[in-house]
This record gives sequence, C-alpha cells and structure tokens, in this order.
Amino acid sequence: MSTIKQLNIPDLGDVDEVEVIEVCVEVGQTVESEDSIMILETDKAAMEIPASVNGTIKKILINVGDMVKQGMPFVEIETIKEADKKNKKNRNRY
Amino acid sequence: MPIQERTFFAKDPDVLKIVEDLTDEDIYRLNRGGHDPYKVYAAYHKAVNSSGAPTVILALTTKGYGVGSREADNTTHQVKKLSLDNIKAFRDKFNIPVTDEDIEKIPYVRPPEDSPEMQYLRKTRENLGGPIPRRRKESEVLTAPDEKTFTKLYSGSEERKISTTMAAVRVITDLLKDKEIGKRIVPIVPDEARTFGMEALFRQVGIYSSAGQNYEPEDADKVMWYKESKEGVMLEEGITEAGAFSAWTALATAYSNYDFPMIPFYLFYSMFGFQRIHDLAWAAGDSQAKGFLIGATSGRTTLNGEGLQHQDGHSHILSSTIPNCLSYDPTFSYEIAVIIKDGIQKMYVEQKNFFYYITTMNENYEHPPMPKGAEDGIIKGMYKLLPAKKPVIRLIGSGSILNESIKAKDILTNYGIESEVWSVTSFNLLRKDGMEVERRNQLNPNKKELKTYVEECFDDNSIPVIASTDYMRAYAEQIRPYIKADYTVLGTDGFGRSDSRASLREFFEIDANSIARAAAYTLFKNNVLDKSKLKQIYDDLEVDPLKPNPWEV
Repeated sequence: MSTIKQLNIPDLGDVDEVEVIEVCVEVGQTVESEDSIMILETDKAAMEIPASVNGTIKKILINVGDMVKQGMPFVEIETIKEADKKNKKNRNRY
Repeated sequence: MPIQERTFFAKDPDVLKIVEDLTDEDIYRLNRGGHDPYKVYAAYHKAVNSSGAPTVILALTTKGYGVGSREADNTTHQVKKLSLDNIKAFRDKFNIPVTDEDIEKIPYVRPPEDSPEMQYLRKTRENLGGPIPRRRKESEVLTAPDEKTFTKLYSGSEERKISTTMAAVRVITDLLKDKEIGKRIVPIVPDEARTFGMEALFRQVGIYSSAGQNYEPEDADKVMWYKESKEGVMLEEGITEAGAFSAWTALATAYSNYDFPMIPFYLFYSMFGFQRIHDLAWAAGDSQAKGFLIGATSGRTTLNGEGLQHQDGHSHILSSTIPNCLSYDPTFSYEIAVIIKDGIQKMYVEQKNFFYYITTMNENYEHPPMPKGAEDGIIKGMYKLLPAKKPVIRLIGSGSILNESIKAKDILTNYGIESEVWSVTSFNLLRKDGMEVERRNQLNPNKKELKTYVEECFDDNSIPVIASTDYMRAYAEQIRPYIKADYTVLGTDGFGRSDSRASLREFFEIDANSIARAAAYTLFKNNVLDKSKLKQIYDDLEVDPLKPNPWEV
C-alpha cells in the first residue's frame, strides 16, 4: 500500500522568508528520509531540507529562486507503508 | 642527636622504629623516590590500576643525581662541562664498565646483545611497535573528491549576496557527502557553530558525544535541531580553542600516527586563532599536520567592530611564522573552492606536508564567476581580476577589502584614470616565492635569472601599485622587494573600534575613497596627474588633511 504525502516546510527556527537555492531531487526519484530535497539559504546559512519519509518523488512544488516560509508545501512523495511505519517509530524528528 | 630524630622520620614513631638502626651513611644512601626504579615502578603500577580519577605522581629527585660533587649543587644548571672526577663518580655510582684509561674519551658503552638490559630494551620497543618512535611520512593516497563540489562555485552567486564563510561551509557540507572521502571529513568548532551557519550540520552529521544524547534538546522539533550522538561526526568542543585545536591536531596527524588520513576543518573566530593557540599550532606544524583551519569573521573591519572578537588584523602575519602553513585571504567563493580543492590534492593525493589557514568573512555580497584560467594564480597567490586597456595604476587587495579596490577603480575611471585590479589571495605565498627565487638566483649566478611570480605578473614593472587589505600593513609590505615601481600599502594598523563597516574602513583608510586618494597622490608624484587634477580629486573625496592617525588614537 502506498499513499501520497504532501510535505510542508518545517520549522526553520529564527527566520521568516528564505530563498530556495537548489532543488536536489527529480520527479520519479526514490528518496530516504535523510536525503535532501532542497537547499534554502538565509543571510547566514544554507539549510538542507530532508525528505523525512522514504518514498518516491511525485511532484515538486517549488523552484529555485522562490521565497518560501514555514508551513508551505514543497513536495509530494509517494510513501511506502512499511518504511513509513518504521519512520514513525523513529519519532517525528527531522 | 642521631639524624633520625632531627629529620622527618621522627614525625611518626612507626617510621622512626624502622630506621633506628641505620647509620648516617645508610640514610644518605636511601634513595629518593624519583631515582628508585622499584618506587617508580610501584607508583606507575598503582596509577595504571586505579580508576575513576587521574593520578598525579610526585617524584622526589636530586638535581645532578649521580655526578659526585655536583650532586644537589645549586649551580648545576650553569655547569657546561663535568670534571673528570664527576664523570668517574657517575661511572662508579652506576657501575658503568669503563676503565680509567678510557674514560677521558667518554666512550659509548653498549651492553652485549644477550645481556638482560639489551633483551629488555628490545622486547619493550617491540611491544611499542618498533625500534624508535617514528613518523610515517606517507600514508594511504586518498581519491580526490567529486569535482562538482568545487566547480559549482565557479559560476558565481548570480545576484545572491552570500559570505565566504557560507561558501566554505557549503564546500565542507558537500565534502561530508562525498562517496570517496566523506568519511574522512571532520568539522570542528570551539563554539559559534551558528554564527558560521553550520547548524544544518548538527542534524545532517550529528555532533559526536561519547555518551550519546541523554536529553531532549529544546529545538527537537526544528529542522536544524541540536543532535548529539555516538555516531556523530562533528566536534563541538565547548568554548576551548586549545581543546578544539588539539582535536584538530590529533586528526591532522592521524595519517602518520594511525596510517589513516583524516581531513579536519577547524572553524573559529580568526581573532581567537593563532594568537590564542600559537604554541599548539607550532607543534602541529612540527608534527607535519595536514588539514584546514578556517579563520572566520576575519579582518579588522569585517563585522561592525563588536569588540575583541572582530579585530583580527594580524592572523595572517602570525600564520606566516609557521613554515609549513599555507595561508590565504580569499574574497570570492570560487577562490575558496579552488584553494580547498588544491589543498586536498596537495595534502592527501600528492602527500605533501602542508596545512592550510584560510580566512573567511561574514559580509554578504555578490560573487562573480571565476575569470577564465584564474586557478593557477589563485593557488600561487594572485591573479588579474579586472583588466584595463592602458592602465596607469594597479590596485591590488585581498579579503573583503578587494571589493573596495574594485569600487576605487570606478572612482578613478570618473577622472579618466585607467586601473587594473588584482586579487591577492596570499601575500604570504608571494613572499615565499620571492625569497626562493632570490636565493636560487644568488646560488646560480651563471644561469638565466629567474623571475619572482610578482615580477611575472607585473610584466610592465613601471606601473605604481596600491595594496589594500583588512590586515596590518606588514602583511602586504612583504612583497615590496619584488615590485619595482612605487608601492603604497594601506592596512588596518591600530586597535579596532565599534562602528559600521563603512565607518571602520574610512577610519583605517582602506575604503574605496582612501584607495582612490592613495592612487591619485602616487600618480601626482609620478607626474601623471597635475596639481589641479589632484586638487579636484582631493576636494571631491573630501580629504581631511588633519584626520587623526588610526594607530595612535
């Protein structure tokens, strides 16, 4: 069984809007929870945003150059149930 | 009164009882702990077999032990030569088999191979891994990392304003993921990981902790949470530069000590670098350490002068005192990429024994694409960044102040003055090249004279040069012997202060206006500008002839 999961930009800490400087995946690519989906850049740091689930990239909702903030959807991933379960056990941490 | 009752033996009746039969001579012969192999052995045995706390062994010894009349003599340290009687006393005391006839020659005495002494020595050295402590010169040759890690920075930042610290952290982050050498990369911070934009690494690679993470970090729900783990890669040392640098040295010498090359990157406030841990840095150099030191928030005007931590106008001068330290003060992200790429190539592929000191800044600005063919110059120490058709002056600079030289070029253009801009990634390396070429020529007077790299770059050596850096003038002064034209050096001599970047650069006279002023004055002295033109430029730049001297206010 698989489900499509839409991922939203997680809590980035002390920043508001940040720029997408790199998209690291393509549609159809399989990813593991620690793989980076995209790289955001603030005044001070580049942040790689992890998939946080195992699965296959279905849709990429952002482009390089976009300004994004916490809560915005950025990717749809088709998750594989077993891996998903396992991930939940791992607590909902990034 | 017998000696026993006059001395410390008397303090304890039990002890006194033990020694009551001894003569004065017997007591004199009682050995001090530090000279008694049994006592030393017992102390070490006890230390090795105790746990839970460190052990301190205090070894009581006699100065000049065993050398007859010089024993316990206050002037022992000044003695340059032992008398024959003293040498004989030493021989007798330790039963060294040398006759009276031979002793004047002070021969070497070597116990026979089958003697217990020799057997013991051989066996003990064998247990320690070999006959003498040795330094492994060569180790495993590493595979150079994926080119893309570096080349992706060659195209510039495309209007995005970033700092060189961010560029360096990007390179380190990508290197950590490299299939070939990712496992060798260790980022180290004493503190300030967030200031350097390294917090993303907390989650990505984790911070090493021998105990793992026994608490819930308050930012556990954030994307860049503070993750400590037994498998962590990053070393967060707490606020101790000495500790962080020692960890760096252990990794930087792992190629020699463990035959397992590691690539440590130690990032710190450049002000808290060499001047705080110079002894350790010297020792690391002497141990032929390999790795990268990244001095961040470098330069005396880089961060609004918040105080002591942003007054580094001298770390490149300090780093130059260590012979095998190669230091760079880059301005653009592609320069950082080229330097780190070359560093890994030289240290871990070609197995050369250098370590690198690279300064980075936290000032955000746009980074241009790399000029074609600039790599060689970046590595050697300088390259032409902005050409001119008929230049009458050369503006050279490094770090964040190179941008001021670029702005000064525009100012000068307004007055019809054409200038070249050169990026000097390392005055220290230009100096080393100059010294080497000078001595080569001196040693080989009949061969064709070699040119220093500076002379090669400045083929027309009659054009005056203005150098500007965020460091004390002494840093850029080093290449004066190789510049045949007028050479003016601007720099940040003096204590820093709290103000904006722009004000600080004006204060130290390294801003674009000051560079333009220095250029105009030099051209006036060289009869390129006339008096009225000079006056016009000075008036436009609002030059204050009574401005206080920055290193005396």
